[in-house]
Amino acid sequence: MSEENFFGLDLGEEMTQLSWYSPRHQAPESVSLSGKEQEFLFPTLLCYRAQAQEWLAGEDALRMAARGGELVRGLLGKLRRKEPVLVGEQSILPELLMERYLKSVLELLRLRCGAAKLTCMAVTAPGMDEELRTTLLQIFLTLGIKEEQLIFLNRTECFMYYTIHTKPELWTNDVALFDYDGEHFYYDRLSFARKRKPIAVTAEHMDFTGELEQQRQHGSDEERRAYWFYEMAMKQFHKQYITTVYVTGLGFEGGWAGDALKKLCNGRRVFQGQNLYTKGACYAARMIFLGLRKDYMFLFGDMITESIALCVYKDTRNDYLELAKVGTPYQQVHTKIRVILDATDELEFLVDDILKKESVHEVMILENLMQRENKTICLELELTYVDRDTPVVRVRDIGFIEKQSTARIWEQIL
Amino acid sequence: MGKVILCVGREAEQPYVLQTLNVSIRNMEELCYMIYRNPTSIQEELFRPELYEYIGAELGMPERAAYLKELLHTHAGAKDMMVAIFCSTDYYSEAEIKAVLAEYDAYFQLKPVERRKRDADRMLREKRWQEASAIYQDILDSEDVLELKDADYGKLLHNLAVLEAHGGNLKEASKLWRDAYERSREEESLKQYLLALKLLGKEKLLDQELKFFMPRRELIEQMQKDLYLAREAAERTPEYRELERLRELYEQGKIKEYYQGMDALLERLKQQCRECMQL
Repeated sequence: MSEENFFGLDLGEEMTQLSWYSPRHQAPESVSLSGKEQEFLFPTLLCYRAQAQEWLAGEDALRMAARGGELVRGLLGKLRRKEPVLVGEQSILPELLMERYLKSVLELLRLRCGAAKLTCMAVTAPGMDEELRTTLLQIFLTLGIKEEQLIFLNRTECFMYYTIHTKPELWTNDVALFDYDGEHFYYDRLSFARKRKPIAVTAEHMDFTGELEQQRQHGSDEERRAYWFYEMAMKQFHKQYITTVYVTGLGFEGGWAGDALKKLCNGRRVFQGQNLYTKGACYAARMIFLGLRKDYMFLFGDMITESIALCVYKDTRNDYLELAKVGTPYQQVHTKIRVILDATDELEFLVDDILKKESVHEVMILENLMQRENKTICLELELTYVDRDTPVVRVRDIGFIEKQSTARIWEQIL
Repeated sequence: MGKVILCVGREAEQPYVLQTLNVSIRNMEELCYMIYRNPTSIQEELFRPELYEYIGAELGMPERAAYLKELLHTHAGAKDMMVAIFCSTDYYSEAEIKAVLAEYDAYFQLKPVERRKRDADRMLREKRWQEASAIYQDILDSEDVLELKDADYGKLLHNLAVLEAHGGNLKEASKLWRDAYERSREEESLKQYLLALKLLGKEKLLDQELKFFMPRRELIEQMQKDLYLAREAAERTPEYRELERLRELYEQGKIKEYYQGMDALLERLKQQCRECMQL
């Protein structure tokens, strides 16, 4: 173990995985929490032994359950649903259950990793959102881990970090990921804009759980499922230049998708495994902590792909004032400023889309401007987004020195 | 080339009243604007600590407020306070700030009567006509008027003529413009005098004065052009169009509607006149 230790924790519905960044190999290595060689999947469950009033986690919990202990599964789901669990005669909050589980994980981490100092750990889980993040953070804080030692990511982000650490030829073109845990089926596609620095890594995330569920309801067997999978994959790959495909999740175990995957290998490299997210999280922990992200811009979900600035006179010169920054979720963009027009009726915006080669100047002409003395037209300018791709500028006359505002409004989509 | 000035601080919920000017402001740019236009009459405001409390708490500029309070504490002069306020924003350029400071200095080099005239000039610009008129009249009635140079005396008479014209007293205004021109030899005064004669319908007197004063051909052409444009503009006003409509009603024999419309139009014009006088 080195002085600085970075970890990636993939907290799954069924299984949890941990990886540690090896300075020697310059890459994450999976950690066996159970202590058994090549056994890296650690069940996400607890078992309560009433006689000893003892809680066990993972493989030990399974063994105890076989001998009559009370097994508690689905810890993550219960945490999300805020569902207390009846264990014996006691109702226990899901936060406390997860706390017990993570306490065991951390103890095993210290045991397996030689009591290494935890510099930074990135935690991921399916459906990681703000609410789950806040709950997990509280639990880790209770367990003595400091906030600055933790990073929370969704699985798409882990996929991005993982991909950019693979060989460059594997992500020259678009990269796809199929994630199936036996119930939920997700598809991610990464594309890369290399014309400018930083390199923009854009993710598209799709949920095919519903479609798969329909298949199940119609009683489809493995062969039909495989057929559905292949057809769905080819539809997604249509007119996309995808040359690397990753397949992950326990749902793919058993070989039902073997033939489909062989067909997908046509002109592509296909990789199947279970540790993509934990390793991606581990890479992320190191990259973010050490400030090594500056060469990349990760865009996914509701993040806007452009920065928008307004040309203003400030500190005795014309300059661009940033109103929206690339990578911000569009719902969070809400900028309001006040400006005064000096011998002009135009507002000039600079729109810099990271996915395009050059930035664009957009001019908003304020038609039918009020006839007033120069420098007495004071306007409030507001920038918001209707959706990820639609920025809207709203300009309102707010009056100057007791001159009544006309309440006139101009609006323009940039 | 135009520009878009970024405002500083925030817009306050509650305004601050500049008591000496009886005007309220809500942000730094409005404060700069009022100081710039009233550098000599706003001095008292610059030494009120409440103003700087307001800048810090309500306008969201605590650091600037602290600096201004420090200046106040070290007995800085009005010019220093003004410069510090102007430099808080980009509303005025360096050249504009220097100009107002020069005007400020020049003001205190003037004789008292010249300062009063300048105060009245400012009121006239701000359409405070009654106040301006009172000061001009006061100067004319006092012995101090003898201290005014001919050019300034002429300008005073010209401005008084403008006020009379606004009040609808074109006859008195024409006399004042004539006197103004004789004193100051400003072409603008002569032009206004001749236009006033035209509007009063005094064609004979107008011919006599044209021969007497022999204005430049360009001035006469300019006057003709101004009259033409003014007539054109007048015909486009709502009042003129209303008058045309009323004339049609009369010609159609709709006498009742004619009188109703005429009463309403007269009332509107009277109200406009009253508002004009109040300003």
